[in-house]
Parts: sequence; structure tokens; C-alpha cells
Amino acid sequence: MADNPTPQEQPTAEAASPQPPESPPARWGERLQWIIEYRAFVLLGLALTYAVLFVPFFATERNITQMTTQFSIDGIISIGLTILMIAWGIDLGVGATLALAGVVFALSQDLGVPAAALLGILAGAGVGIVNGFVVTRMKVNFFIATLSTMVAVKGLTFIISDETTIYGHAEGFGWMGSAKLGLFEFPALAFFGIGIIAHLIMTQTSLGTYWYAIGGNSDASHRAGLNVKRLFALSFVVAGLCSGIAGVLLASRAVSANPGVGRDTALFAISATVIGGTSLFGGVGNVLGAVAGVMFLGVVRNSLNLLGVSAYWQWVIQGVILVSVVVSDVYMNRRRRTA
Amino acid sequence: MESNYIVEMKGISKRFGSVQALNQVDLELREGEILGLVGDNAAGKSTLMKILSGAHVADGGQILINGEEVSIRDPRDARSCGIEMIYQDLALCNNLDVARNIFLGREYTRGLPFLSILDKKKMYAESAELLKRLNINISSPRLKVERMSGGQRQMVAAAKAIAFDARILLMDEPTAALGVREANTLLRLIKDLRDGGHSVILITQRVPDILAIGDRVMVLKGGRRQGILNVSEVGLDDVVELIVRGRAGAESGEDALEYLSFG
Repeated sequence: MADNPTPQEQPTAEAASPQPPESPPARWGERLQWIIEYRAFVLLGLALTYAVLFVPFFATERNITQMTTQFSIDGIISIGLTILMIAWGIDLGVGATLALAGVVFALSQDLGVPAAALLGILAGAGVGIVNGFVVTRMKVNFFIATLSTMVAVKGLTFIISDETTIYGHAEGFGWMGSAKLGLFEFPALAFFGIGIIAHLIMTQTSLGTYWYAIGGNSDASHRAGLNVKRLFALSFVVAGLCSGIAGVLLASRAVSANPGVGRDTALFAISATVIGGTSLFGGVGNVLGAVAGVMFLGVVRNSLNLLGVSAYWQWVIQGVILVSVVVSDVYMNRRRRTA
Repeated sequence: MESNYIVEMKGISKRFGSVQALNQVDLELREGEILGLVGDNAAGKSTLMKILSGAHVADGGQILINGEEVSIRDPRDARSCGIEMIYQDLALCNNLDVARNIFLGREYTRGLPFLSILDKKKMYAESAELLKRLNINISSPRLKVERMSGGQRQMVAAAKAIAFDARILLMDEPTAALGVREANTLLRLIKDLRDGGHSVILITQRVPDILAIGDRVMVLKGGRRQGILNVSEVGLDDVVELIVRGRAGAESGEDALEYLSFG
């Protein structure tokens, strides 16, 4: 610590020390900050406008139904990741968890679809419990921890599925993936429903406040008496739970569980979450933004498909979008730190 | 037993490895006074306060609250004794608003037992009232802390500490990072708290602050108590003399000790 060497020198040192900024930041800065915070809605609006006007077949009933179902399954994972990332964690293994949940669901279908679905979802939550335990109790960095469990979960999924796709034969196996209400199929309804529930938890309950608190300043949260470890572990369980739900929905939709699915899931889900305004540095983010981020990426992906852009170019475009969003997040984080 | 002391620390010692940070230190805090705790870097001020607030556990010595011996082994113990430490690095969540910071971990809730719904209306109303009562110039408890100046953050931290009946406030260099005007506002708040019946220990490098608002000032040097002085009876030079030269005057042995220890 480089404090004042002698008390006599203090008055001069005090006068020389820079004053904290008392005036609010400039107007353009505030406006920019607002745009960056709600960027997902702006981007979604732009993408929708472009797609409706210029992309053939985009605004057809069939396409809307298909597109919403497609982005909703990954979108549910985005919602769980949003909560986890607000608490300053991340789960790189959501895709593996998704595959495991689907396989568990298909393997246990003879117990009846509801019980099997529950088992699949619980398998996802179980992976979250393991992640939470490894990160908070064994103090392993969460990147390493979730990367390791991802590999283990992948292996386990191939073992229990005997490396083959398991087809759904039980009565009602495919119902969840294909039931339809108006324009939307069940996965889309589940996505919007889970989004609303998660939004209410994050904004209206003490639990949500605690997740923001531990992501913002875990020391301060600890001093305020919060059980930081348990709350952090619980956020991993939420991410696992959401991956489990997504896995069951995906298997139901395909009427089969493939142990190899989910390779691009983490990239999509994390991108959507960050586009939605959730910071990689914890404490900042919101569920509604993530929902908009999912829809934005979904519209872009769908439009590129309809326009016949090759899958490789789609990767390039997704990568560029992700990089620009991460850059803006780093910029925002620096502003927050110096504010 | 002297019952007009709200806090008594007796013979507190603390060693970090080979460094004796505190050596048989006594401290007495009277009810409703501001006690300044001053000393050079590494004098042991922060260590002593961390022991009282439960962040460190002393190797030896006693702590008495209202004449009764207590065991303070973690921050929760300290809080149950009515002791609240306001840290130099603040302990606020910058990403939360003022009310959520004040009530963090002690929210008003209603509804479901397994998922408690925040009673935001009550929290905002009580926070606004608290800010008003303490004359804290923050326009709304809905403002996020990250948008605030250093002085405003210090005041939110103080409000958070006293919102739940802390009678004993420990403040670690609250004015260190503040400009002159903000520092003065904060000092006035500390004085108001004292007048409202709170007892305050104020660690500071700025001796004039303590002479302006304090009742007594205690000097630490090299992990030992050098003296405790009544502010009304001393001037800046007396305190500075004690900080720099110690009780025994300038002895080379004490200077050497100072560089070995840290606070």
C-alpha cells in the first residue's frame, strides 16, 4: 500500500488526489450504453425486418412454426446459461448434457413417457449437481470443471446408448416435440414459458437478487451472510436442468435419441446469451434479453438457410457476430470498472 | 467491571507467520463516542478491527461487549453482537441498486415459503426513509451503486450497516478515496450517527479528521498501543508525535520492528 508517508504531508496529498467524477457521464455515452444493454431487441428488430422484406418464404406459417421450434430447444438452454452467467459461471458442456438427457429419456420410455421425461430432466440436473460440487467444493475453475464433465458425460452417453440411436416406440413419445397450439409447437411454448418464469425469478425474488449479488461481488455477498457456494452450485443445477428439458424435447421431436447430438449447442446458447446482454464478467444480464438474443440468432440462421448460404459461411457469420458482441461486452465491462 | 465501555479488547495478540502484527493491545470504546484509531502503515489498525469484526481470530486476548466476554469467530458472531464493519473496499454489489444493497441477505419477502417474493415496495420505502433520516444525498434508492461517486457509496455502506441496528460501527479509512467536499459530508454523517447513539471506531490516516469529529484517539505503532488521548486536550502535533516516535520516543529498535510487521 502506498499511503501517505507522514501525516504532515496529508493536506497536499489530499489536494493533489484526483476528485471522483461527480457529474453523470455524457449523454451520448448513456445512449450508447442503453443501446448496448438492449442490443438484442434492436438486432432482433433489424433481422426480422430484413427477413420479412427480403427473404423468400420467411414469413410463411410453416417456416415460422419450424423456426421457432428449432431455436426454442437451444433457447431453453440459453435461459439456464443466463442465470449461471449472471452468477459468474459458465457451462461449456450443455450440449453433452442435452444428449445424455435425451438418451436417458429414450432408454426409460417403457416406464411411461411422463416418468421417462422426468428421469431425462433429472439426469440433466444431476450433471449440474456434479458441476456445482466440483466447482464449489473441490474449487476447480468452472471452465476446466465443465469441460471435464462434458467429456465424461459424452462418454457415459455413448456407453448407455450402446453408440446407437434409440427410437421412440412408447405411446406419446413424440407428443412434446410436435403438439401444436396456433402457430407454435410445444417446444416454443415451453421456451417462452420458461423465459417468463426465469425472468420473474430473477427480478422478483430474493433468490434472483442473490444470483446477481454473488456475480457482482461475491466477497460482499459473503459478508452480507449469503451462502455463496450453495447459491453458485445451484446456478449450475439450473443450467443442467434447462439442458435436461431441452434434451427431452429434442428427443421427443425427433422421436429418437441420438447420443451424438449437441455439438454446436454451447456455441449457439452462449452466443445468444451474450447477445442478450449478459456479461461474461458476471453480475450483469437479463433473461428477456437472452430470449431476444435466441430469437435473433434463430432468425439469422433460418434466413441464411432460406437464402441457400452454405453451412461453412454460416459458421463464419456466427463467429463474427459472437466476436463483435464479446468485444462490446469487454468495452462495457471496462466502463463499469472505471465508473 | 467498567460498564460504560461498550467494547473492551484486552491483551489482543495476533501473529502472521514470523510477524507479530499485534502485541498485547488493549482498546476501550465508550458508548456513543467516536474513537479514532491512528498509526502509520503496518501499525496493526486494520488487523485489530478485523479481529473485532470476526474477519480474523486473535491468537490471544479477550473481547468484552457491555462488560460480558464474547467469542467472535466469524462476521456473523460480530453482527449478533451489534458490530458492523464498513470496509475500505466497500463490500457493496455495484450491479445492484441502493435498496437491494441495503437489504442484501435480509430482504423483506412475502408469499411462497420455498421461493420468497421480494416486497420491493417496502424495501424502497424504507430505504428512502433511511437515506432521508441520515441526510444522505441520493435521489432514489432505485439507483444502481455503479453510477455513484465514492462518497455516495460510502454512505450507502454506512446506511446498510446501521439499517439493522448495529450499535458499533467500525470504519476503515472511509474518507481515503474521497475529495474534500465528499469527505466532509461523510464526516458529518459519522458525527450524526454518534449523536444518534452509535459508537464508532474510525481508522484513518487523516489525523485532522479525527480531531474535527472524534472524542478520543488511540495510537498504534508496531503492533503496540502507544496511548489513548482525549481529542479536546491535544493538538495535531501531539498525535503526530506519538504516531511517528511512539510512546518511548525515537528508539531505533522500535523503528526496526515497524518494518517487520504489517497491519
